[in-house]
Amino acid sequence: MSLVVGVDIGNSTTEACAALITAEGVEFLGSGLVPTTGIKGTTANVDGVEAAVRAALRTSRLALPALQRVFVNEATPVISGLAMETITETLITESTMIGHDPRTPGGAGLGVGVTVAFGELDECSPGEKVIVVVPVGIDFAVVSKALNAALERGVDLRGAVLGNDDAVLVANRISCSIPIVDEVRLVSSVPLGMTAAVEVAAPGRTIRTLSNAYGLATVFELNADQTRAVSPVARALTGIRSAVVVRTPSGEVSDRHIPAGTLELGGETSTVRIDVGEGAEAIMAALARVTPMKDASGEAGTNVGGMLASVKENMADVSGVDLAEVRIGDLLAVDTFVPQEVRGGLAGEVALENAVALAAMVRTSHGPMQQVALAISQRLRREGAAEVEVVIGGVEAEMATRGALTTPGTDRPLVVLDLGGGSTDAALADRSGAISTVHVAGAGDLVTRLIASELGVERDVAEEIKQSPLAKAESFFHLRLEDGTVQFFEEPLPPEVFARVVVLSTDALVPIPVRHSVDRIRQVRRTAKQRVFVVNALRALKQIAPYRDLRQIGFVVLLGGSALDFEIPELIADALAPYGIVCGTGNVRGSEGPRNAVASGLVLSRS
Amino acid sequence: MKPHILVLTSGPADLLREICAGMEEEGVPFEVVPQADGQALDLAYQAAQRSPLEVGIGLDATGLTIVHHSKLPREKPITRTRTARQAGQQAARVVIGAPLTP
Repeated sequence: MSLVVGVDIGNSTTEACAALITAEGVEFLGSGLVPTTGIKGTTANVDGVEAAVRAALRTSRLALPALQRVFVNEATPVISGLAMETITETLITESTMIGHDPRTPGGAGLGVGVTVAFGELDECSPGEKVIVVVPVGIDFAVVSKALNAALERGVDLRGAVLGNDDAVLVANRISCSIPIVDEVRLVSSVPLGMTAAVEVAAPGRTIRTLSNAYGLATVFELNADQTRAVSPVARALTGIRSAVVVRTPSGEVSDRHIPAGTLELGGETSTVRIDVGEGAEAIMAALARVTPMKDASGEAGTNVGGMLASVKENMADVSGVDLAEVRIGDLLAVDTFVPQEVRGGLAGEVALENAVALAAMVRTSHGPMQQVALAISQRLRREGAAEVEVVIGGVEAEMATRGALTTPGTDRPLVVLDLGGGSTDAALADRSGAISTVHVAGAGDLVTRLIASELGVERDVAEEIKQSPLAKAESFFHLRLEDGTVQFFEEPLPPEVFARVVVLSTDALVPIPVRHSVDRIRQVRRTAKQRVFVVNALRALKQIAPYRDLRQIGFVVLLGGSALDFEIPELIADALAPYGIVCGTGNVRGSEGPRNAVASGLVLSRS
Repeated sequence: MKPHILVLTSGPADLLREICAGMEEEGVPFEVVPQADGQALDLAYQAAQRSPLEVGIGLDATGLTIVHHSKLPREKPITRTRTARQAGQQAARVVIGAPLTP
């Protein structure tokens, strides 16, 4: 009878399980999970290993001196990198539009006139069609009085653009109904003496005229060529409640396509070049033609060249491998969009720019496992495990499938899908027990990145959004959850949470600092998971399945941190259902959930 | 009784005007009842209890404005600020269920 501990050093966590090996077989005792210290496969891992071993022994109510053997995995570090680049850009030259969406515009309708500074309103003659432009800092009573005086003199006031948040106040105090747009930050940059149109939609509606290319053509009497030139303006103004368009002689809004460059994908026999501007679908199709890929590079001096270079540099830094030796083994391209402030806008307008996100992955050579094993045994002996012997166990994938097979209800042929942070790893154990593996780029980190960029939030907020369901604080005492149910609180919710969308994280309510609705954020979250995990699950399974036929796979067991996610397992299971595959989150040894598979496999392989 | 936010004030008229402007801009009706004296917190708490929309504002002679809700404990008002316009806006936003500005 001997006391052993299996240790799995992963990219982010180190897991251990303690067991007694007897003549009858293996009796599992306890397990432990701690963060990995240092880069996987280096001697810096020793601290984490010691902590994991101690944790496993503690839950087994045993002490270090009784420990006889430790099995560690043969680590093949998979390092991943991410990059994102916008491929379109909206810019306004000579400020022609103010398309922002203040919460409280005033009045309603469409007004067309010539822009006049507030101070020069007195000089307007009766009958003149005027759009008045009021700078920040002038009191609403003063503004209303001056506008009423002008109206009385017969000036044909058609609309107003305000710097302050005063539109409703002014609208309530003047003798006619005109559309008023407020909170225009750079109101002093609005060109004067130009024809302009102000449109405010009734509550609950969006503007109709300025968001329609022919509406703009009608208002500004444009010919076909000019209409073509202003059509991006119309497109940029869709879906909002108020807008101002000023027609300047040479101003235009352009929808520039940034040359993103070409991507070169090198396979075993051929090399494919693909323009990144063609989008993710085309890139992935090209990649499928060269799989298995040997390396990828981008055209120097272009965005994609910079992207891949930075990914490689990053990976060289992390792994300590020479930059020239870094070979990208797989790529995942995802089409996305990034809200960006429009260059030349006057009120902080935001346009959604197209972007491509790339996740890349390299398999580095085996780490110096002998040294790591030696360091572990020295450390554990010093800490009291006088007789411990550290053994380097089998191949990680084999151990993972062995551990995964302890999930109740599984059998070969079985595929383990390890949903990690940087890469999605698959291992197939066929009927005979032979193992094959595949690693594809893109996992949890890319999901976080997509959520962050599409919603325009910080990385840590995006991480929260990824991990937990949403809710909205509808009063000081109740939350409406994203599925429509209600949760009441006895203590009042803090004011900063009131009426906001919050993430129901385990220990706190995290308010999301953007105006998006619950539905919108939920949709972004779920599509990000779809586009990374579902796409990668299918991609990995297609590469690994016998005869590339998914129907030959009986069972798929999901492991790894993202297998604990509240919706990723069901998204993948839904996608695999048509192939007759049984898919679910693993439950290693019937008790550990999707954790501890490799550590358990190491022990089992030694019994 | 028509729905409104109740404002109880013993404070300066110029600040009161700004508070009212904040509510008007958000499109929420309000009523003002001047008081002889009183602290902002007491006035706000009283106003919230009496207000049909459950939200009340108290403005005192020091220029402090407090926004309160009838269901919140007396010591935990929604906001206390010296920016009167913002106080009016916050009160209105509580009524219409819009996020408060920090």
